[in-house]
Amino acid sequence: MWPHPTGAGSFDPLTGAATVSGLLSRRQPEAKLPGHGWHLVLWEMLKIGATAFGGGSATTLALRRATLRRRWLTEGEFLDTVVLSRLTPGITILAQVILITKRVCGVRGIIAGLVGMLTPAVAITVGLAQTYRLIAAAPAAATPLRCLAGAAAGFAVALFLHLLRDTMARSHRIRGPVVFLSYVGLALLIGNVEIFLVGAIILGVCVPRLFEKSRLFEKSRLGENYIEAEPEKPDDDGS
Amino acid sequence: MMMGPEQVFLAILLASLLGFGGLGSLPVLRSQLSAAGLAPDGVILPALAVGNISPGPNGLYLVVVGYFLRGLPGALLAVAALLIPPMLVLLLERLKARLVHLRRFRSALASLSIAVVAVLATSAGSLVQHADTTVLAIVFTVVGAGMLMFRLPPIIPVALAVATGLILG
Repeated sequence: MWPHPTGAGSFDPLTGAATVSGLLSRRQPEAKLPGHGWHLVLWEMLKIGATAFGGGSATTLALRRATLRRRWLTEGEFLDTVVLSRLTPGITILAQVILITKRVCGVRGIIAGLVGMLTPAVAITVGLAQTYRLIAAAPAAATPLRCLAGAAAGFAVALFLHLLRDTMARSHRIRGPVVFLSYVGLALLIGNVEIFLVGAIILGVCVPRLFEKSRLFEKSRLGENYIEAEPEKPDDDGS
Repeated sequence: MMMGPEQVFLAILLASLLGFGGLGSLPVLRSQLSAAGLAPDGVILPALAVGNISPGPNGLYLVVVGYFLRGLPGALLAVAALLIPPMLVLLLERLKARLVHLRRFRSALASLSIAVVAVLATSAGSLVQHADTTVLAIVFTVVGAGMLMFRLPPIIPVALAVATGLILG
C-alpha cells in the first residue's frame, strides 16, 4: 500500500482502490538500530537463500520474518515492498530484497542482500541440475524422469491457475474474463509472444476502462475503508 | 542447434524483463528457445522440476535453463541476466508517487498481467502435451498441479514421482 494522493490513508496500485490502513504504517525517523550493518544483511540473506525451500511463498515468509525480527522495516513498510516489487519485471523476490536491503544500509546493503540470497540458492540449484544431467542418461532413470516431467507440467498448470485466480480477482468480473479469453485467442493468432505483450501494454495505455474494476465492487469490498480516488484530469482519461 | 553465450544471456534477460513474478518468464523463454531452433519443452520441463525443489525464488529455474544450454558459464550468465530487471524497482520507487496514481499506468500493468496469464495458458498446454506421453506422467501432472494448488511443498510431488518411477520402472 502507498500513500494516497490526498494524503489520507493508502492506495492499492493494482486496483486503484484506497484504504486508510496505511496511515498506521508510516515510518517515523529513528536512530540507527543494531542489526543495520551490511554483514548482518549478508548473514540473514545467506540463511534464507540456503534454507527457503518451497519457492516464492516460502522465501517471502522467511524474508518477512528476518525483516521484522531485525527491525529493518515495519509490517506496513514490508507490505509496501511487496506491492512495489510486484510491479517490477523479473523475479519479484529479488526486487523486494533490493528494496529492503537498500533501506537498511544503501548500496552496500543491496550488494550484500543479493549476494547472500543468490549464492547458496544458485549453488544448490546448479548442483541439482548437474545431478539431473548425470542421471538423465541412465536407462533406469527413464521412468522416474517421465514421472518427474509429468509433475513439472503439473507445476506449470498450477502456476497458471494461481495467476489466473489472482489476476481475475483484480479485474472487473465481466470485462476481466472477456479480456482474458480474447487475449488467449490473440496470443494463438499472433504467435509472437513479445509482440503480443507489447501490444497488450499499448492497449492498456489506450483503453484504461477495459482493465478497471468497478467502484461499486471496491466500495463493497473495502467498506468504510474505501476512499474515493481523485477525479481524473480530462486529458489523462481521453474518454 | 546450440545457443551462443550472448544468445543465452539475451534470451533469459528478455524472458525476465517481459515476465512478472518467478515463472511469468516462461512463455517468452519458450518463444526465445523456439526461435533459436531448440525444442523448448525438453529444456523447460526438467528445469522447472529442478527449479521447484531448489531453495530461493521459483524464477531460479532460469539458472537451470542456462546450465542446460551452456553449462556452468550459462548458469552464471543466467544469474547476471536475472539481476538486471529487478533493479528497475529502484527507478519505480523514485517514480511511484507520480506513476501509481495514473490511470493509464495502472491499466497498462493490469493489461500486461492478463496477457502474461493468457500466454501462460498456451505454454502450460504445450508443456502438458509434451510431458504426458504415458499414463504415469498424466497421473503425476494431476498430482503435481493438485499439490501445488493446495500449497504443499513441491518436493513432495517430486519425491513421489521419482519413487514411483523407480518402483514401477
